[in-house]
Amino acid sequence: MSRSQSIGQFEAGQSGMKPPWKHWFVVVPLAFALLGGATGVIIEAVYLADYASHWWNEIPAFYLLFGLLSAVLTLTVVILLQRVLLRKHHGGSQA
Amino acid sequence: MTMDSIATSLVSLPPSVLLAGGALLIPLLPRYFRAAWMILLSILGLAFLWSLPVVQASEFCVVSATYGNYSLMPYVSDPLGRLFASIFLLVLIIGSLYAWSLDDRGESIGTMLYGASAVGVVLAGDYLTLFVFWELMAIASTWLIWSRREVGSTAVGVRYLIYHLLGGGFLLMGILFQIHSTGSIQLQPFTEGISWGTMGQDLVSNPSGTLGPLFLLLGVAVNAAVVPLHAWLPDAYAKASWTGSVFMSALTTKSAIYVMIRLFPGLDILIVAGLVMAVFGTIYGLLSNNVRQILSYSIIAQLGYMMAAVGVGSEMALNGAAAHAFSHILYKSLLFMCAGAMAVYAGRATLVEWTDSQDDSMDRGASSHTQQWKEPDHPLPWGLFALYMIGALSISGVPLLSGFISKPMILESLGKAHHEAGLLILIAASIGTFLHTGLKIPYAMWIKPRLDSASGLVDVASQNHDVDDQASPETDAPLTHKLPLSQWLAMSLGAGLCLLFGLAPDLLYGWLPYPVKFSPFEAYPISESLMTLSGGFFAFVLLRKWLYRPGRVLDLDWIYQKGGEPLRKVVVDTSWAVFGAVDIVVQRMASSMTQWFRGEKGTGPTPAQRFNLAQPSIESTIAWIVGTMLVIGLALFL
Repeated sequence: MSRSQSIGQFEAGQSGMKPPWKHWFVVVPLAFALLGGATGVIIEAVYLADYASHWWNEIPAFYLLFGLLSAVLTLTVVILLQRVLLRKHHGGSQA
Repeated sequence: MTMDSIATSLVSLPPSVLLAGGALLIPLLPRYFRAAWMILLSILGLAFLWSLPVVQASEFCVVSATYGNYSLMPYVSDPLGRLFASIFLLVLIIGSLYAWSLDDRGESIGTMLYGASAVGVVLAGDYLTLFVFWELMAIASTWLIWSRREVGSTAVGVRYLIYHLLGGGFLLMGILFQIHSTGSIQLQPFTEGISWGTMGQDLVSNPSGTLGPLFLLLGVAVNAAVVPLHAWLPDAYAKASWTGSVFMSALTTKSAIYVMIRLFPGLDILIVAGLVMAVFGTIYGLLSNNVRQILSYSIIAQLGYMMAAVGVGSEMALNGAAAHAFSHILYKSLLFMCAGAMAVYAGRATLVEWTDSQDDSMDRGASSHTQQWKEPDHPLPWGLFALYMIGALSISGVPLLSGFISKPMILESLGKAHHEAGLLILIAASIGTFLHTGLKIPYAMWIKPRLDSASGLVDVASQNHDVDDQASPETDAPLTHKLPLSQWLAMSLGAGLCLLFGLAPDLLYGWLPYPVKFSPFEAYPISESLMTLSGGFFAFVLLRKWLYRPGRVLDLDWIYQKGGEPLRKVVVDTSWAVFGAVDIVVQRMASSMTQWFRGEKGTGPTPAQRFNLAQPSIESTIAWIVGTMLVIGLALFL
């Protein structure tokens, strides 16, 4: 059974196991990320409403958007660069 | 001699001399006493260091001597040097605890000499002392790479040593020019006379006065892993011994940052260099597949922060650079210790590996290599996860951890200097650091295997039922999948210090070279950190599927190696041919004279056979390089 087949069967519920998002080691980080982001937005809204050190301080939740977009951009660049900069290593691990 | 004078003399003993002297006793000690001895020496060094008064300027020279017309200052006590020496000694204590069960006398001696030389560099008050300890540091750290005793690590050690000897050569040339120009060997910041914008004019009007700082900058830049002189770092740190990489992550690059702070505060080009390093280290960290290589690229990114701060040059920025170096040593040594522990459980240091298997496209008639997640030999414990995540979240700048007390200081100093583009680039690089160290590694090592196991895709237990008797290719040790208690203690101590300084930043701020007018626990840095990291987390969740690709990442050293091959052939082969020919002629003349005097015919091997000129040894190659650099330096100086 190939990997994609097994994932498909798994997601279709044939295995009768918990879906990935129901495991605590997935739920807890997700909850922390959501909580952290929300806390940051609330702090900004409550304590930094009049704060304007840089031009981007005028944009609400700028850092949340910046974090998401810059990470997406960075990851996209990295994924594209993999084709150019990664050389395949067969067998064995590289230290 | 009274007791007081003995005590004063003891306290005035430079910690570097104490450590180096103590290293000489290590061969006489039994296995488990060695680490205890190393810890004791480091604690004594700390005690001596902190018992001395500290003054703001570097005039307070504890030990002085004369060399010809020059006054040597081998031990200077000032806040910056004391901060760096303290963290170096602290990491020697933690690392020695981690290496408690190490049964390698040579590596223990190398570690102590390495620590001694790094401490010597940051307490030096003159160029000559600095240079001696700088070179000793290069040799001792190479020892730690060779301590792994693998074919690959030997070659890496040679490359590392060549890099650092070249860097040392540049440093020596800079020192000689500087002495020629100023007549002084005291370390003084180049507040005037060096500016990137006017470098061309200065070279014409005052060549000696400009070449000195330029060569010094180049020499220090090699050790600070400034891109494109950085390739030695990921190459060496991923191949050093497991305990050696813990020390290496702390000492070499940070002592270079110390010299940068000391000599080049406010040099504008360092801001650009720092930004390039931050972006480069982040992208290459995300590309890499080897845990220690990811951490190595992450060092380059973090050094970029410090370099940019040195380039800004304000009191807050220099405080930020020093504080970030301190914090970085704490969490990076913790992360390297955790990387060693991961390899013990996982049986490898990579995240994903290529295996030969049939692709889904077999119906198209061709088999191909497909990516397969090779599960860890044994599940990695959650305790290790907790310790690793303290280090990973510290480096990411999460509030209440050590990275958060230094990174925002650098960001704020950039903001105050109106480098807004640089500020945003560094924030983006910080998110990238969180992506590779805080998410990519733990997801591959802890989360993904457990998800696969829970979903029934992989049965780790049945897959690895017979691995306990095998030897790990990564660790060179039987896969016992158990960590010694000393390693748990060392990692816990490292994590504890990350928490301590994160919770009580004033502990660190009190040791910084300038008065601190900054508090991280304000609304702005907290909200910025929480929001950016949260955004980065969700981007990782979206794109993680495409992020894991096995393979060797091509760095700039590939260009050196490819481009340098013809040059190497020309230079090395020609040199060896010339010197070999001269050697043969001299040997023949000597042999003929001997035969003439003795009146007998030679029956032994020919000189060419005796010296095996076709295959020069590593030692003689290094000797030639050092000799050539010295000759060039002297020629330029004269």
